[in-house]
Amino acid sequence: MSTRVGLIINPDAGKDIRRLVSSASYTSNFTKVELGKRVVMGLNASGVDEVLIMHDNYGLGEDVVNMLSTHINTRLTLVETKGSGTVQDTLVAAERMRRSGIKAIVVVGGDGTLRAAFKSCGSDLPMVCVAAGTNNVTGAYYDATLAGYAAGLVATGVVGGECLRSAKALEVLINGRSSDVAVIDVAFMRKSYVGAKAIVDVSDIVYAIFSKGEPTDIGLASILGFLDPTPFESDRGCFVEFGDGGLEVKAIIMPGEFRVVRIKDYKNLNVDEVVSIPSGRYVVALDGERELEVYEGDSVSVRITRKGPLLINVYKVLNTVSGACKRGASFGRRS
Amino acid sequence: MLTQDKLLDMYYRMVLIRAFEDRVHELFTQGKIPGFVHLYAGEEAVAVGVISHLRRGDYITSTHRGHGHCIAMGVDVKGMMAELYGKKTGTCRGKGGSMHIADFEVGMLGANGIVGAGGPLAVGAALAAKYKGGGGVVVCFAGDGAQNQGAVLESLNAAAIWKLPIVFVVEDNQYAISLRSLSSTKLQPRVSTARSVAERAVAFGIPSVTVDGMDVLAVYEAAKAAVERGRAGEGPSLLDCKTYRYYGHFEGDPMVYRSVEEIDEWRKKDPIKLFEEKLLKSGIATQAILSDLRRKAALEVDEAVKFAEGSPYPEPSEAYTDVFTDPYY
Repeated sequence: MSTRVGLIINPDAGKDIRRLVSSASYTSNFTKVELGKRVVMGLNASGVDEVLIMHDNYGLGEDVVNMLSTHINTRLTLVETKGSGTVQDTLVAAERMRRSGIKAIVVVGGDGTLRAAFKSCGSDLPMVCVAAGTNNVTGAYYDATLAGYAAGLVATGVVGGECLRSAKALEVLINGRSSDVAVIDVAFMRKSYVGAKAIVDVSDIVYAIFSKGEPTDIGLASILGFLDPTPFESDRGCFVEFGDGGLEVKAIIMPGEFRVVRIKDYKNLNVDEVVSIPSGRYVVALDGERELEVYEGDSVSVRITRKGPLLINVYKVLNTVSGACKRGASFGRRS
Repeated sequence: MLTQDKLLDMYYRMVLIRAFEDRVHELFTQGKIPGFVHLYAGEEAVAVGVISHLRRGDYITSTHRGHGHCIAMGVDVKGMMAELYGKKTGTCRGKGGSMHIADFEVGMLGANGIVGAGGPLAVGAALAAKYKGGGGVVVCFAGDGAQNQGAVLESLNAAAIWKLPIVFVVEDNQYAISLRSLSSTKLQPRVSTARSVAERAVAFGIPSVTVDGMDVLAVYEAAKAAVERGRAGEGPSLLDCKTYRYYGHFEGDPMVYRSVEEIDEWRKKDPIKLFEEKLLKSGIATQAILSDLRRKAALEVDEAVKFAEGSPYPEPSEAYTDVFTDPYY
């Protein structure tokens, strides 16, 4: 049976309003195609038989196929979507890839892209995100070739579960119904509309629940990173109430942008714990993007779970292979 | 913070644009309006979301599809309709028609029959604003097709090197006349196409963002950041707004280049309906308030049509007046 891996290149990642209000770089389509090519070259080297690539409105996936398909052994196949130009394309493509039996998925984008792929692929499929977004808490900053190679070595079974780590997830329940899921943080904001989505003003945030935040993260996770560092591996999360009267934390909310954030109170959460949010009118941001609106009278809670994305530890994969190579083993294709 | 008054004013301007354009569509079909018209219906969120940030002393340059920009800037609707009819009471005394409505009093430097010609005008106006000081800003509206005009690219360059207070707003309504923007803007030099003019701005050193042009609040928020940059002397910005026009490129366009299904898909994301839902859900407005505003807009357009139809044409003896400006040199 052939080994398949999925590849999603998000055309919209790294292009939002934060280009105007911070020092965030614009991630061009040209850059994304090059990243996608490097992922595919890594997958090809690992011996993967077929890569399923999302067909997007901008033709980025198509470019990768056109440029590489006659030069490599791995078969490249475009996966059609409705071409909505929205996150829906990623959701549909990832779902189709999962049904096609992929053994791993690589996304080129930011935390939002990884989250969308996770929503369609679930917590059992190994995935890796090549950083092409804005804050990139989940994204690998290794060269995309290495990320592709590592994903391929996982997919072909050269390395196993020891090179994977389960992230946590934050399930948002509105009126008892599971309404959405985030991977890193859920923020409740006093704002009347979703608008341009990205969070640019932390003073709007009233409550936030984190599954992860380390000092090397930026975005909202940076707040937890300086307040109470929490890796994905740990079995806890954190609930933070914003406001005067407690601590002040200097965090990096967007690239180049430090903000002093006032923390009224915070408490650790155990996995499977549910936090109820006081009733009110909020806009809810999931992994830094405003997505949901809740209203006075809605019953809203957030549950932290262990069922987050199964992330590929690129460093560990390559280190494992490196050790085996020293002992004379070889992996993947010769050319 | 957007107040209730401001939000409802934005809604009113959007429904007024829609009511105006839907009526012009009918009137043109009935043979009542001479010349060419290009309708803005479907793109209301862009004009209103951006122009809501402007104040007296700011300017805009527009396009052949300029009715929405005019209404959002506050150009008198009666005068606009009379202008479309070619009547003496029109904004330009009936000499300009749909594609040349200009009203300097409100900062509207003109619709423009030449694709991309607003770019150099915006550069001039922004240079003046910078010279005078006071934080004035110029918004340059242009379509996706215009981004392939040399004058537009020269304008981006001039705005960047002179650090001018311009917000370039690209209204990517998916088609340059009948050519899909996917095919007309090639940003992957070696291979196929990738449509995003925001990429080009980056090459000029101009910060740019891609915006959902069907969501007035998304446009509003991005435009706020861009206008603030201009007022603060930080130079130009570009907003690449993804939107859609409901009618053809021009009235009478058989639209053989796009399917009914495609139009229906975009209509599901209608900017006015989307905004209505938000206003209702958030308790900013009730259905009754929104109905009243829609009725008021329809009445304003009715009045404009009556005014236009009841107005006289210019005298033949006036054929050469108001056409050329007096040289001041």
